[in-house]
Amino acid sequence: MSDFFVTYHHLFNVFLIGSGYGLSQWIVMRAGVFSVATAGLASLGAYTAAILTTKLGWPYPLSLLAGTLMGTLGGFLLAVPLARLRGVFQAIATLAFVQVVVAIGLYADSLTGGAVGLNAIPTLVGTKETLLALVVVVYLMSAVNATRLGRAFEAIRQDEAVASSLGVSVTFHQALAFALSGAIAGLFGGLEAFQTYTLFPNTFGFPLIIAALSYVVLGGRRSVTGPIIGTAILLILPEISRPLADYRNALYGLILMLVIAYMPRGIYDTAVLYLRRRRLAASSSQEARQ
Amino acid sequence: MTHMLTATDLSAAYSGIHALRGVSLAVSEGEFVALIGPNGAGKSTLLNCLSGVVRPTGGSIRFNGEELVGTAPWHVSRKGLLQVPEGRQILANLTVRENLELGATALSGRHSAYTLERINNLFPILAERREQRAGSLSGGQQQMLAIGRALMGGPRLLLLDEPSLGLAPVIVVQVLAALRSLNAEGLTILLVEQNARQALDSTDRAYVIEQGRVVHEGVSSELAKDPAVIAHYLGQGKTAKH
Repeated sequence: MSDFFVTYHHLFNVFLIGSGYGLSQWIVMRAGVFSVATAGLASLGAYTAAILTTKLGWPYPLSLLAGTLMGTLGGFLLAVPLARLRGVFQAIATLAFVQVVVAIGLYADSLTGGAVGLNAIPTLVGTKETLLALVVVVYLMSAVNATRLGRAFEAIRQDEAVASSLGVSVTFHQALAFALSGAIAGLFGGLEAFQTYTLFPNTFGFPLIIAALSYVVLGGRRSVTGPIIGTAILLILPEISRPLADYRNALYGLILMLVIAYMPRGIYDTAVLYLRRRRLAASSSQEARQ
Repeated sequence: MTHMLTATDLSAAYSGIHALRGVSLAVSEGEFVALIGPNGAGKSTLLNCLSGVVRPTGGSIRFNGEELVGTAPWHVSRKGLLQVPEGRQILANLTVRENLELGATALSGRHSAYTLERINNLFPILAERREQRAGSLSGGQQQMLAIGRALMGGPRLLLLDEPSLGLAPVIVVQVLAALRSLNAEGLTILLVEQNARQALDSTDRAYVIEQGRVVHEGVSSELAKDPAVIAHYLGQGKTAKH
């Protein structure tokens, strides 16, 4: 029984971290940027936090803050050259950025431990701290969504020319989205570092890119809830499909394909739309009866 | 006479296709000017050059004495040169109120003569539907919202790209009437239209462009009587097909 608890407790922590990465991916896509930089920005945060605490003995909250700032700075600096690129070119450029970060992690082994990994990171962060971080981020992102900033993001995502015609600066808002994405990725990278004991450069490589993207695509791109639902589904799925363990990745891919094909808005946003339509239909049939 | 907006010898090209070949036009304060011409003549390209969305390959654009070529489109908007884009382009997921509020971004500290109250008087339906999703509005209501949203940004010159597109004739009449009343209150307007007859009936002056060049220009009521314009753009007494 206690084994069970340990298993699911760990899964819950993974879910919290994954949700953080999902939200980092979500905020850039919200502003119409097709970036996959989240993995690289998370790596910056994770290594910054881990190195400051293991090598310089910084207290972990300070290291987490430094990791967050490092992610923010990374996101902001990425935004400058990327302001000239659009769509799939942004994706390719950010993919290259992630590979560069992985390569630095592998070759700067005096600092990062290289391929052997950065070991013996004290486990200083638990579920409580991670949950608190996620709640704060969710609150802040909901606030962003509800203000003019979120509407400006929405306008840019729909059509940059239209956003410009309303006086919304595309360059400024996309840089801001990158910085926010970097801050969230950096923070949760740091939280992961203080939970997992060891960091490997490849932890923040291609698989994380795909995971973070999937959370958002599966869950939904509009509301803050979407990526969290997406993370929950994609993490619980392998657990409930244990008997199909050998086919786990195939199942994962199949579900993603089905969702993209039949629910391009993602599960949560599709559900919201469905409920809204039903409510509208109900109220209009009521009006018709009166 | 000093002009509010002057475009001089403007040219633009997309991947080798010359959309504009040396267009010059001028709009004075308080005028209501139409830009008419067939599909693909370069009307929308010209408007997009003025609003900064498309960068011209040559020529100059001066707005209140300031050169605009090379200015980011959002800075152009903030100077009060505001475009109502083709196809309305309202933000369907936001409410009517949120759309209008977003329009005020272009003010960036300037003062707007168009308060929410004034816009609601102009288009009462927007006040009625204030908290509804903009996507649930009809096409005509969406066009009113798009105009209202641009007004929130305090325009000194309003550019409209085919506001009649896809609207029922009775709605087109309403929209044009609203534009005339805005003009009567002092707003300068440059209107792009395919529906030449209605555009000439509503405006003071007009430019006819064809294949990226201005081929006729003059007072709207006179152009409407010009045999060459009638033959090409208005049809002999028949209603234009668009």
